[in-house]
Amino acid sequence: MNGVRIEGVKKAYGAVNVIHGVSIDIEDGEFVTLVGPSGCGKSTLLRMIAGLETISDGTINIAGRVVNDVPPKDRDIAMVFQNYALYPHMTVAENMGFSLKLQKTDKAKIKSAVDGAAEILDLTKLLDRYPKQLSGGQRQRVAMGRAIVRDPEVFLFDEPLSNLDAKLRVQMRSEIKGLHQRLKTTTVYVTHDQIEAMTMADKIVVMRDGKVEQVGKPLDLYDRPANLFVAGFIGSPSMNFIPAEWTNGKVVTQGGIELPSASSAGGAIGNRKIVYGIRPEHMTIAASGIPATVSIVEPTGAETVLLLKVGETSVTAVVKDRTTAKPGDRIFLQFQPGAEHMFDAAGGARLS
Amino acid sequence: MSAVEVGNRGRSGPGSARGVYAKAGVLPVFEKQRQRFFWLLLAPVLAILGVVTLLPTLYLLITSFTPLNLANPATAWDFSDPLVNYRTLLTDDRLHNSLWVQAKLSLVTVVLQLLFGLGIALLLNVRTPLMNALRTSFLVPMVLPPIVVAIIWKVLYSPDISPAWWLFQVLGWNIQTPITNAAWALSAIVVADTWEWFPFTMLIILAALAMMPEEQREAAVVDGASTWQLTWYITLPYLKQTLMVAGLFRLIDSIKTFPLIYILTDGGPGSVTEVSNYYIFVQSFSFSYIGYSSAVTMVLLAMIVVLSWVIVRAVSGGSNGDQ
Amino acid sequence: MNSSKTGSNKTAVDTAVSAGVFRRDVLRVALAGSAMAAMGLRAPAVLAQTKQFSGTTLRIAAFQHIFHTYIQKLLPEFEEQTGMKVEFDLQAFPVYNQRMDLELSTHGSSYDVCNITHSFSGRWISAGWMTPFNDFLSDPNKTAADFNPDDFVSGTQVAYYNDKKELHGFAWEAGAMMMAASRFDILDKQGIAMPTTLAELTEVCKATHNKSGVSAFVVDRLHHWNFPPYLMGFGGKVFRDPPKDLMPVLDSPEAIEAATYYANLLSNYCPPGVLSYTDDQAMRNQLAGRANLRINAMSWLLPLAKSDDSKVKDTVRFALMPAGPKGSFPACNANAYGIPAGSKQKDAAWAFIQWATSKKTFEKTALEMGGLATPRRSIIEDPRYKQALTINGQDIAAMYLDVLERSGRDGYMAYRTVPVWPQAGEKINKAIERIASGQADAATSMKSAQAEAIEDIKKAGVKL
Repeated sequence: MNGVRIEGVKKAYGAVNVIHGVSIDIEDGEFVTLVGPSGCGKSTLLRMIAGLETISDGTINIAGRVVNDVPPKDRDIAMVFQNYALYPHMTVAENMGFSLKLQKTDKAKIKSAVDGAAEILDLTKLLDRYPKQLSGGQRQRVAMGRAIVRDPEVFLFDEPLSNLDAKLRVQMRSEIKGLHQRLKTTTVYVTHDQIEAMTMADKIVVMRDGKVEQVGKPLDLYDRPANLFVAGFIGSPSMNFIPAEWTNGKVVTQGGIELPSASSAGGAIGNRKIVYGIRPEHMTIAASGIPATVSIVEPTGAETVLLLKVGETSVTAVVKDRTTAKPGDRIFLQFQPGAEHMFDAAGGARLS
Repeated sequence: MSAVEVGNRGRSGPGSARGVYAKAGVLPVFEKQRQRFFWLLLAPVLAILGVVTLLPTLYLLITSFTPLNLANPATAWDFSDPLVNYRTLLTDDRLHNSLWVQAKLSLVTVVLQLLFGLGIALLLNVRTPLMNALRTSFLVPMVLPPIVVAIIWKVLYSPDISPAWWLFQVLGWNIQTPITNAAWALSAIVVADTWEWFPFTMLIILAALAMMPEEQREAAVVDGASTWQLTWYITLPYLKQTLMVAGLFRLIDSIKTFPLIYILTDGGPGSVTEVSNYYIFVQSFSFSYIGYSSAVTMVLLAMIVVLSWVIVRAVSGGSNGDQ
Repeated sequence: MNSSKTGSNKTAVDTAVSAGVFRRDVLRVALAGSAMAAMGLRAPAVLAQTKQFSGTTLRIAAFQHIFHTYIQKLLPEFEEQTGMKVEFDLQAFPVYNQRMDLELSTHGSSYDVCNITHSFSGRWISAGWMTPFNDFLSDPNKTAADFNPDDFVSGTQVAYYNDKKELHGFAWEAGAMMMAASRFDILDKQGIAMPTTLAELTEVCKATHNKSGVSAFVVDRLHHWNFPPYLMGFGGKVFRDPPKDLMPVLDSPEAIEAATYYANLLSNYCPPGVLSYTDDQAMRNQLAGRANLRINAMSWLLPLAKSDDSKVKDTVRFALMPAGPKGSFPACNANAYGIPAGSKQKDAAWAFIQWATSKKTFEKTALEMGGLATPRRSIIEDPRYKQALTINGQDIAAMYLDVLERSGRDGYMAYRTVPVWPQAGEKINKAIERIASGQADAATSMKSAQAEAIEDIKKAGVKL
């Protein structure tokens, strides 16, 4: 019964529905990411868990009790905000100890809790500084320290790394993951960056337009996306989509090019228009196979990214070896067997 | 001030273009043209300002060295004893009393206006249509012409026509009117003045509250702050700067209090509500002692300038860097 | 155009024109006078009869008073006759005094006629800010034969002479201090008569205060007007011997006694908040029957009997101001029209003043329109006037005349017309306020007033 249970939750602002019946189970100690494009409702959902937004319908359960009408301070949660939301007129130590001070905890306990959190986050030398004297990364750590001190049932992160530069983001990602491994507190983490989701989460919830598109482990979402949207959202560079037709057990593009497919899927599909999906990293350059024309070559050092044209469709390939291909060259592609995905052209649901 | 001198002052900024050139003591032509252009643009404004503010102040200063009495033409431009007025004001008990009354009035009204303005701003800081309407109605006291405010309070304080005293009668209370009571006259003026001006501080604070980052409040709510704790630990420290600015405005304005005193008490009973600028008014326009009142005005002006400087230093000293 | 006029009502214009025989003399005088009049008089006698001041706009400044409303009603006839346009600029009383003071000090020409407020008369006239009337009065071409300056009761004109005995103003209104009870029935019920001495006044107040919810007495906060009669009644004075010896004597034992007496009335027998009452407020109190006795100029007391707002018409009773141990000195003042020294249209101004303060005009304003505080004896003794001022069987006209004559004869109002009177009056005001509000006892307060007055008078350049 521990963890967070979201059952049939809806949210409406007046006549406008923004969340249409979401149900998610978050186990005790799990690190769950809510991911999706802007406006999909992930932040709203997070704020409903926190108690900063009211719940129009459905229930939210934290640690076994329904918290729909419970004020935020009594929900046993702690939140880390995108803009850190530190109190500018208090020192780092005071910021971190504020919640305990509000509960009238005695000074010694506050100090030990703050010192403990500061040690975990390597903030001990900064305890007497003011927020305006800290860098972005340090401020984010203070925000996390503030959450840790509360020793809550659930951590809530609202896009905490969006304001940091790329290098810092990578560093903080591992720090947060390390923190979770150490404290083992249930965490709900909202982000629009699917790389963060993939690297940090035990479970990913992909959302779009107020609905859950798919829930699952990161690799599950990677290997078997339930629909076109999830397929295109997870993975970078994103999956290639080639419009085609399934006729008589074969996949043929509009230009007449045949694409490889695992024959076991054949019977269930029937003749219809499909979208053929193949990830860039599952393609290799070969002597024969699917013909393609090179448009742009982007060497990144570790790999080479090629923008190609297969028939009329633009396609991206990522290959590990160095290649001598130049724009304009005609090459042949080989797909990793069984790595293709097929989606119904009408509706986007997974077929294979 | 020549363009070269102005340019030389730019030497203080290392790397500034002017600084580089000023080392040679010569400005490039376009820099000189630029500055001439600026001075040309400023000249009309400076001229008007000079005529409207500097000249009269200068005249006032010069007159303060004469015993000018309009009823006695021989006293104009009589510089035989230039410091006579300044000597007199050192021993003028009525003037000293007026300064003391002014200090009391200013201090109490500023504090009360800040408190009321703050309290009501906090209550009104909710964005609903009802509150928007209420907010507008709270502006009314400040928007009325001051003389109208004074007359409203004169009516309120006159037992035979005041609705308040009708109420007191109904309740059986026998209360003396404060404006004729030496102990309460100044408080009566303080009340009227606070009623008139708290919307000013309220507006300034409301504007600051509207800009307060929402996330800080949410973080505090999540941290467990009640409404009172939120106000005390988060909102008030955020407003500290704003409160000081509003307080400074009101302080300088409170020295100009006039219509209330003129209508309600005429400086009395006796001199208990006679503030300095009212004393100057009486000296100038009831007796035509322009020379003496000019001297008192100069002293008052100097005090206000010093006071403003002190407060501005305190306010800007507290705002190092962004938050 | 003038054929309808009868001989005895000739104005200055008529006079100058009909005396064509004296044209040469007139021209000689006119050359020394204003150019405007000279131009008018040079015209042939027949044409110059009417509209002598055609094209002139006369500007008059005064404080708001019903009398100017009456005059404005009568203006069309005057404007038609003289051809001038007359504009009034009226302010509230304290505002007018301050503005006019400033205006006169600049010797400006914005106004051609202005009201000389009684308490400022000494100041304005001795500073040379007003025009003396001698030249006008001695010139038969400028002053009608029947204008009759002596018709003004002496007490009303006293303030408008300078020490060279030159006259600067003619009164349009007179104030004679007397006493009125709005609710005489309350006194009558207890068999009390109107008090004749100050001691009796205290007794009457004690006996009638708060009976039937009515305060025994009411005063307004202009103590510099109300208090000196009490001061003199107890044998005190404001200045030692005005106008020559301006040493104030506000701390004499008599002054302290008078201040104690007056403040006692204020504190114990008046409505609450009386210290803040304006003169209008005090009158309203009496009109509504909330306060009983008041001592002030007749024009403040007449409305009790005459005003539509009065609730006490049947119970009002008048009497002369009660006498103090050293005599009775009811205050008397007047307000007069004068000509500012800087005016550029003095002849036109004089024509207006003559007309506005003539017997004919007063007959209309006093007898027909109800402006009964008039300064001319011939009007006061007119039977119609007596009838208008018989109230509840009392002859108020006689009281009025008595006070006007007395103050002129005995000259005790001289204190009010010295140049430094505003300063001294303000000190008296503050002193009484301090005593009545309990901030100081009479002795301390009056001693402070004395010290402050001396200082201020010295500041004005007077040698004490």
